[in-house]
Amino acid sequence: MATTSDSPTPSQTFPETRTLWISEKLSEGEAGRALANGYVMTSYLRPLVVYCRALRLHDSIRTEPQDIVVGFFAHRLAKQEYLKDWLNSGLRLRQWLRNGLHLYVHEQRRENSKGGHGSDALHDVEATGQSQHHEFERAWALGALDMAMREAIAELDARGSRCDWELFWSHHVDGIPYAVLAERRNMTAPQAAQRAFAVAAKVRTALYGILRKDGALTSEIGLEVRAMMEVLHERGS
Amino acid sequence: MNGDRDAADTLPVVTNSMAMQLFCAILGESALPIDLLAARCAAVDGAEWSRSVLDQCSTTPTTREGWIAWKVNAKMSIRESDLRAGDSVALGFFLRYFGAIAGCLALDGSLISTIDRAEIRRGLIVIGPSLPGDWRSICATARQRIDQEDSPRNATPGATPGATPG
Repeated sequence: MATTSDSPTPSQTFPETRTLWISEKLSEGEAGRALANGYVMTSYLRPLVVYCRALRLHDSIRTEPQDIVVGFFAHRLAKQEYLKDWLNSGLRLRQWLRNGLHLYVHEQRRENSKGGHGSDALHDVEATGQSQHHEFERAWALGALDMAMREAIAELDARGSRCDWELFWSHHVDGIPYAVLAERRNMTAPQAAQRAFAVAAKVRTALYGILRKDGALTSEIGLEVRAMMEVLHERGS
Repeated sequence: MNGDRDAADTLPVVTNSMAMQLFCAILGESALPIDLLAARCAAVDGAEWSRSVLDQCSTTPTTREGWIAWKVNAKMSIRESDLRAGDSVALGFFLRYFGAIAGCLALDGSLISTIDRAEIRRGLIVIGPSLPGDWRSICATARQRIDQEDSPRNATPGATPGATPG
């Protein structure tokens, strides 16, 4: 049924929720929480390991960065409230986890020293240099892009259209003109461009989904992507 | 890349320069000229391309007026539609235009553009590191100038952010 142009759209009627996907999963009980936890562990392991290594958080508790992050996930995500607390925090999920990792390392230090000689975790957060922050953000950006590409490829594979991925990559990354690619594939240049455009749309949809799960609003996503581009070059101050 | 293998096997480790181009492709029609230029400079032949574009210009100016003349000359040659389409020639003129803005900022801290300061700063970050050495230094100095201007102790009560001479 056609709607009139002045009908309010759902987004005009209701404010967009920042954390829809994880919120939905948590409302589905244990199975949903397991899915949410699995997603968090898969998506944020690498950036947190990079961050842990950059800050040398592992030095004080003599454990490998990856083991620290795995331990952090095991400890925090076992708590039913952990992700619910994030939903109320107003933070991006990656910021919530980064702060949480600091607190976890502080707890581990205290436990190891028994005498309470560990440094103050919040002080550590404040003392963190911009370069470590940028390393974390860069690892997150590259990880999110990697996940988005894999999602797009899986979708293309399912439709038997993997060759479109090669076309997209060859043009956008290798810089080969559509005319050359089209000749190789026995198609016209506009057809090649159209296929690559469709692949870009799939990667875009996947990346936007990942950013939404991290807590970005749809209206913030363009800025988020530009911030990701910026942080690739940012070396800290 | 071999299309017969699994996704996990075929995806290379994405480098910063690959990521710049992929993000630009993802932005699609909403990519801004600075995004397009950043992606062009980050391409495999980006360093060579930017050097050849900038080397075609006469000696770099040493005065504000000289940089303004550079900017005006470059701007006159930019066709907006070609730039939006990512045309390499248009991007070359845009690189000169952007280089003039960076050059003048580095020279005396003045912003000779109506482009938003934050956008210029972003351009200095995403484009500057891909440029030839002397231009990289110019962009780094320009960024320092912007950061100094924007630092809280230099904030002027009631000042309008982004209000710059055209």
